[in-house]
Amino acid sequence: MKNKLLLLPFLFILFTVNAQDNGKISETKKDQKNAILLNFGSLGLGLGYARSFTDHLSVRVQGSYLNIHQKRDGVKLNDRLIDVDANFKSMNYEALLDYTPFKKSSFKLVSGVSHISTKGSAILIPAGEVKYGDIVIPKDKVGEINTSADWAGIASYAGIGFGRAVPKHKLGFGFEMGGYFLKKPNFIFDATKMLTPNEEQEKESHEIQNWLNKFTFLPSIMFHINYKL
Amino acid sequence: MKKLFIIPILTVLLTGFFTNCDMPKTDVIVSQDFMTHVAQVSFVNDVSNVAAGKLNTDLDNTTVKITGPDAAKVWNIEGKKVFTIQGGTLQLLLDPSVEFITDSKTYTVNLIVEATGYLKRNVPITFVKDINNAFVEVAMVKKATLPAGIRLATDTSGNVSDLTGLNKVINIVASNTLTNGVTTEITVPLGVKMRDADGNPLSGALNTEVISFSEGNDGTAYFPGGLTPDNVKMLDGTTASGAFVSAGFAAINMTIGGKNVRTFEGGKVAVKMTLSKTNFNPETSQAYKAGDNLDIWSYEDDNGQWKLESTGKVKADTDGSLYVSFETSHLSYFNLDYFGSSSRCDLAKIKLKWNGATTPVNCRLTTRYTYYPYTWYQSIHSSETQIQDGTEEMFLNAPTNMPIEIEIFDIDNNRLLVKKIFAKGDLCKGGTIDITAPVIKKQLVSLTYKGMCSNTIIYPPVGTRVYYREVGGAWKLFHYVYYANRFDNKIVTDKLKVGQTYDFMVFAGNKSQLRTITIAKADNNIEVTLSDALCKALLKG
Repeated sequence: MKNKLLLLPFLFILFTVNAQDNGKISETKKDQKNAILLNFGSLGLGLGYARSFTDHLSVRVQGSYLNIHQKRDGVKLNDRLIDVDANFKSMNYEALLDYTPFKKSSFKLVSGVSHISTKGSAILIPAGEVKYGDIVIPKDKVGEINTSADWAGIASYAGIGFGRAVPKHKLGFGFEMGGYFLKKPNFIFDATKMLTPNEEQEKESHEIQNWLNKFTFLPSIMFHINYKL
Repeated sequence: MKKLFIIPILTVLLTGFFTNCDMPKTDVIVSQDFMTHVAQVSFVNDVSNVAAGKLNTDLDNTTVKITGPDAAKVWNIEGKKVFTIQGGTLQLLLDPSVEFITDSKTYTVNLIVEATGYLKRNVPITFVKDINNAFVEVAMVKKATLPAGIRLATDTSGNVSDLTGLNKVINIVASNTLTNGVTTEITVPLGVKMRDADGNPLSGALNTEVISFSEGNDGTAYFPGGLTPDNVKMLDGTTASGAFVSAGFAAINMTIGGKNVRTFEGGKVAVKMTLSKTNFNPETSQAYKAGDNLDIWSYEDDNGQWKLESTGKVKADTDGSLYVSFETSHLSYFNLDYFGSSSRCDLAKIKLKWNGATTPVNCRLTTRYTYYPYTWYQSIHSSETQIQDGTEEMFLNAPTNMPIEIEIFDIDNNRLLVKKIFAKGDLCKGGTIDITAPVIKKQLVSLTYKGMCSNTIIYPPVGTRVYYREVGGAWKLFHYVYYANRFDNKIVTDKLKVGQTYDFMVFAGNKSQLRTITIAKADNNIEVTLSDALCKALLKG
């Protein structure tokens, strides 16, 4: 059912574009306007192309990319210091339909589909010396915990915002907020050497996996600067 | 083992995209995976009884010394440098930073036990790459209850003066003639002066003891340092590794005012060792006869080194018995031995085939020298272990200079499972031992256990041993945590009977916990709240 719902925005776009092609081409051709856009927001920085078909409808094709890497040593968690090497990477391509219901307002409703690839990962290593009794355990014997959650695939998107995809003037600005409806993530929990029991425990409990499975909605905030061609 | 909270999937938080109040506070468990090499040392008294319940708990709380060039690399199971016997056992842990650069690289320490009423023992413990868990049995000689073939003689009549030396001739005989074993006689001459290990003169009442060990049967279980020593000092000053075949040995100890006598001045102690009736000369593959050569060795107690003193001649006594006599100006163990330099392989591996034996059975595995018609044997190594179909047993420093018999005794069911004789050198080629004894099927009982320290689940570290007994009975090995099964928390066993009540003793390091459990059904879930002491031992780091 969810997969079918994901197809709806596509069908909507296709239907709309197809409708333009079937009869009103001569009237709307002069209204067709194109723009390129630069977007940035919670899913990173990206570029896109927009084309308006009517005063109310336009289509955007855009992509964005985000890569955040953070390494922090000696993060105190409970009683232990942990070195954390975390990475968040997101890359998505999407086709969005902007519907601007009011002629005098740039308020818009946005819908579309996105191929989204979002992966969060972290490597955790006990910081500093690990001791057992008076024995100092060499770092290479301690091991590490590798965790990652990977949301990849087609996601539907819905949002609201302000700003036309193809601005009335040469330059325009836009803002929108919405969210992606994701599948359950692919979760990996891999622990090595002395930390291996954590992997065994997670396999038994699925505690983290179950928690992450709740995250099927990815909120998004995006700004864009549009340049009319 | 240590627990701590982490925030799983930190990246999710870093991005700040999600908010969720139900984030699990997952425990991170740090196991003892660094415990890759553990030596399980069991202390026993009389080795002649192969049945279970032999652990010598009289030695509990005795602190042993760990010496030798690799001593710094060995810790107790708690990661400390205090080595105390507990429950008749001691576990030694090889430092995790140690690397086995080559397959043949080994690390050896000497374990020295000195306890009141027992003969001092020095036993080498060797860590090798392929044996994660070495089972070592240290047979202790309790002077008050000596096994057959070992005899003690004492004398307290002498007195030593700085100026005039010993006031009388002392002659002591530790006789094993009743068992046709080795008899040792010493004669300490009049006027001999005595010094301690530092060369200081000693004076006062002299206590002398001689303990004579027969070489046959289990006598060599008490052989100082074991029959396959390293670092043996030869006459030319070089050292060698190899294998002894003993013709008898003796411990000669003297003390004055509580100090050990080490050397003599102004005379030598005469030692006469009469061979057993069943002696065997590996060089001729026959019994010794008058005129044969027999090397005389002494043992340095502190560093565990054998030294070739001289080559003795076998002589016939008036009664026809054979003996070797010599004189010494120092005291130690003395040994009449054939030594095969390099007569051993580093590691022999034997696979056990036992159709249908799908659960571990407590067994005693013994290796012995023997020879045709196999009525005589000489104990090389013995230890308790658990076997089932497919178990691979490994034999460190397996000798190649004699046929070797391997015996496996089923402790659980009190029966001999198999004896197999390997021809000279064949054990080192590996192979299999087929056990044809029927598998005694008993009702299987499963125990799914969970050790808890507060709210933390404990994975017992490698080396943890669990013993069990029917209430009032003898302790037997129940479960041992290997490197491979360290995360299993379900034990399926045929050792327990439904409806029966058992005592279980868990040893982790020097800490132990006793719990009495009635096995109410075939499948049991047992949650054990561990004692503070045990938790402290486990929750290190």
